[in-house]
Formats: sequence, structure tokens, C-alpha cells
Amino acid sequence: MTTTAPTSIGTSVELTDLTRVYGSTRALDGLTLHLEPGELVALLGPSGCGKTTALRILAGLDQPTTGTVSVGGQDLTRVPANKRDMGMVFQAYSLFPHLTVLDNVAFGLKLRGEDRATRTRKAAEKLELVGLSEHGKKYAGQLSGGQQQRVALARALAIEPSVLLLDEPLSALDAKVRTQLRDEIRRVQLEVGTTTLFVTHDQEEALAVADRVGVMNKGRLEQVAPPAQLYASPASTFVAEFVGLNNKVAATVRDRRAEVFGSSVPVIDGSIDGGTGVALVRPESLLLEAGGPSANATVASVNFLGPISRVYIDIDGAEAVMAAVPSPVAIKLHPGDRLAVGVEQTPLLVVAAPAP
Amino acid sequence: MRPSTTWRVTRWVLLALFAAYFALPLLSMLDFSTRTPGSAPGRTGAAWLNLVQDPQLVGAIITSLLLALFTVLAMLVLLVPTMIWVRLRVPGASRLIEFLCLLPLTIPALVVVVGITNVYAWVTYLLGDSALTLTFAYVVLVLPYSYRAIDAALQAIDVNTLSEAGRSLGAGWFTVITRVVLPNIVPGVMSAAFISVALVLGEYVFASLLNLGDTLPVVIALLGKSEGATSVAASLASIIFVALLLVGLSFFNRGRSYDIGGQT
Repeated sequence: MTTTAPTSIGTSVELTDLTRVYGSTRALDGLTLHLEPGELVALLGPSGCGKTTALRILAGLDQPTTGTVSVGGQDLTRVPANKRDMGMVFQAYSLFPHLTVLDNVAFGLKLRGEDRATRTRKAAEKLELVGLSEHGKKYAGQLSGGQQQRVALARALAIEPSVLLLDEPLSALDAKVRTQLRDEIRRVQLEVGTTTLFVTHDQEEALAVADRVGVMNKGRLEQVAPPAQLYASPASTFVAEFVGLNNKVAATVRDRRAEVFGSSVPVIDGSIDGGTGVALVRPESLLLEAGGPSANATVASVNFLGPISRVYIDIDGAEAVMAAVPSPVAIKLHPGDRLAVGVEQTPLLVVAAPAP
Repeated sequence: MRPSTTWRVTRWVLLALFAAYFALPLLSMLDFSTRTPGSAPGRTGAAWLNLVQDPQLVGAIITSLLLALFTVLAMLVLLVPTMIWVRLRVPGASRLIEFLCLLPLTIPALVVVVGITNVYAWVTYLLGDSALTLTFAYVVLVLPYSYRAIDAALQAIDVNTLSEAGRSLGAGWFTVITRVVLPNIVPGVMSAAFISVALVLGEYVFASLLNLGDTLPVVIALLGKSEGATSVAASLASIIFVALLLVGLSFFNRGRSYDIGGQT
């Protein structure tokens, strides 16, 4: 199977100033998001941040209090879910228990009045796409969780939807299946070229599959950016902390450079203009040098995680930090060793220190 | 671990006691209904023959079966869409619906009949005094049992996710109910229907006090005073019929129990 040019060109999606109020809570608070045709955008955030509400509003399963939804330039805000032509995969297993796998995949085609031969052919194609051709005659209950979600994906794609919606499709699966299926979803999405909105609370998942990731917090979109950019230049403390791990280190900013552990490092946009603050330093940006007269820290403990290790370090007269170090290097470190800790020359986000 | 001998003996004794308690009256009924009248020896099928020959009895059997059929149909049409709709769209109302459906269970039948007599004055005025108008009362009577059966079936599936999946694939509400939810609660719907049939075939208080003509239990009671053997034969026949229905139901449900839960 090859993953070359998309078989269909996706449609653009425009969510404009969406607000959703339930009683006294604002689940969505002015969400604006644009999806390019064929793009996969992941909405990432903690539970209750409004990401699922946004997806359900796009699906038509929920109505916005204000704001509009348009797909391919057409306003769908008041169009019911069953007329929107969107394929959806749910967090909970959603295959129809009374139908075989093949009939599940063909269900949407049947509703569209396709004749039996056509829908069987199309459903079989989609089952092949997710690698489950030989399971067509089984019932949902006879499949594993991962297989059920793959059938759900095939079923959503069978109707050749304008938009594919994935609502935490991997949450119910165990870790290994989750990674496999994650990669498979991306492969299939690239192959069919359907514009896709993927909602997840798992940052690794979002960074791995998406063209762009939108980080949500309290009903608002904090930042939308390609994964690498999101990681390197978080727009806010929330984004920096939600995506990846951070050490919080005291820093002094002057002339768009920060003084951290004796190193002078450039700061990114959104940092404070001057004075003292807190630099958010990625564990892999810390430089460790053994011993010497410049030593300013002591190794507290080392956690082996396979290819990398986490080294917990007590800084003299400051808070402890955690460094991510290739395991072959880390293996030479022992609790009690003296280290000189510095920071590499990647731009940092420095924020105002929280009030004591 | 193998159960101890004492325990096995106890089990068999309990089973035998239960079987005797259950079967002895039925065997006695069979014996009584086939005995030759008077003290002469031998067996006769006269009483059983009456079931298909006595015009009053045949009429009552047909009336009761039709009543059972209409009650089941009316109950399903009323209850199934309502319960699915409440679950999907107005979950807040589910307590109220449950309360209303269980109400007939808490009010003694006699009290209901006294209350309902006035309503039936209108029913008979508008629809005539056919025994089949008892359908209305019987639908209310079977609500608690049917509600329970259907509710259990609905709880066993994820109605919300299934219907959202259906809608995202292009199904309107009617299609969601008929092609997505209904096929997955068939066992519950069947038990609701069978239990209703059993209830209707055994109902006496409403039929007798509303005085709306002869249903099977009313005629059985009547015959009990004059032709004991025939009345007992009719009772036994109706017990066997209902028992067969219920046994059939359990086989039916076992036959189509595909595993709904997933394995990871």
C-alpha cells in the first residue's frame, strides 16, 4: 500500500468566534479556528477545556450559543448533524452491535441509497484501507478495542465525508495499540486527504499526528502552531507547561536576553521585557558538565527510561531541576556527583515570577 | 473443588421440593380435567375438547388473544419511542417517566377499576362496549413490567454514542430509533411483549368489574361454578401457553446474544 497523493482534496473549515454556554459555565469562549483543505489539526488541552465541545459543534451534535461554523465556504451552523456529511470516530466504542463489520461500514452508504453491490465494494475498500478485510463478517463484540476503532474509522470514511472528526479515538486503548493506531490514522488520513479535526488530551498524540496543534485552555485557544514550533516557541506559560516538561529557573532579562545559570540566552516573543522572572527551560536544553571549579550543582538521582534518562539535580541555593540526558551519558552520573549546569543557546520563554 | 456430599444431597432435595411444589398442582389439574365424571374409572378428553368446541369458551379465548395482541402493540408503540426519546433528548425527564410507569404497580387493581369506571363510561359511549376496549386499561396495567424490561435493555447499550454515530452517518431521528437503537434492544422489547401477554391472559379484576364481556379468565371463573373440569382444563391450557411463551423467550434471547462489550 502506498501513501502518495491524496485521492480526494479536502474541504476548508472555518470556526468563527464560537461560544457555548452551559448554565453558568462557558465551555467555549470565542474560539476561532481555520482548517486548510486536507489538513489535520489537533485540539489539545486538559479535560474541560472545551476541545470536545468544539468538535461536537462542528459535527452538529451540539449548538453554539454564538458564532458560526462553515465548511467549504458554506454556513452549516444550523444544519443538523445528519445533513453535514462528516465522518466521526468516538471515544467510546460505537459500532452497531447488531450489524457485521462490513454492514457497519456500509451503513452510511445504505442511508445514501447506494445499491448493494456498490456499498459492499466501497465498504470492502475502506476495510482494506484499515487492514481488516478478513474481519468483515464478524460482529463488533468479536473484535479487540483497537480493531473496533479501526472499523469505526473505516465507517466514518466510507461516506467520503467532507470533514473527519476524531474525538479522542485512542483513549480507551492500551498504550501499544494506541501508538500503532495513531500512526495508522495519520497514514490513512494522508492517503484519503480528508480535512481532519482530532481532539485529544495526550500531547504526544497531538504532536505526532497533526499538521498543526491548537492548545486550548478554559474554552479559549491559547496557540495554534505546527508541532515543532509549538514546542520551541510556546506563546504562553500554559502552552509551555502543557506541551512537554519544563524546569522553572530564576532568570534576569535585559535587551531580549536572559541570564540563566550564568549563560546568556535569547528570549522568545511573549517573554517579559526586563527584570527578574522565571525561565521555562526544557529538560533537554540543560547542559551538564562533570565536576570542576565551576560546579554549581549535585546529582540527586537518575531515572533510566530507555534511550534517555532523567537526571534530577539539586542546584546550589536554588530549586531542583530535571535534565533529559542520553542514557549512555547518564549512566556515568551517580547521586552525589558535582556538576556544572548550564543552558544551551535555544531561545527561552521567560515569564513574570508568580507572586510569592 | 467438588461440592461435598451433604451439599449435593441438599441441592437435590431442594430441587425436588421446588419441582413438587410447582408441578403437583399442575398434575392435579391435569388429573381432574381428564377424569370421567362421577365415580366411574377411566379417562375422558371431553373437557379439553370443550376448549375448541364450546362457543362461549372459544370466543373468550379469541377475545383474550386479541386483547393480548392489541395491548402489546399499543404498549410498544407508546413506550419504545418514548423511552428512547427521553433517554436521548430529555434525560432529565427519565425519573418522571419511570415514576409514572411504575405507578400502576403501587395502586391496587381494585382501586384503579373504581377510578377508571367513569372513564370507561366515555370509552364505551365512543367505541362501543366490546371487550377489546379493555386494551386501554391493560396498556396501563402492563406499563411497570414493560418499562422495566425495556429500560434494562436500553441500559445495556450506549444509546447516546450509537445514536450520535448513526446521525453522523446521515440518519435522521426516525432512522436512528428504528435502525440503530431498536435492533439492539430487541431482547428487552420481546420480554416486555411476552410478559404483557402473560399478564393480559391472566387478568380478571378489570375484565370482570368493568363488565365488558367475556375474556378467558372471566369465562374460566364462570365455568368454575358449573363445569369444573372444563374450567380447569382452560386454566391449565392458558398456564401451559404462557409457560411456553416464556421458555421460548429465553431461548430466543440466548440465540441472539452477541457480545456487546469490547475486548482490548
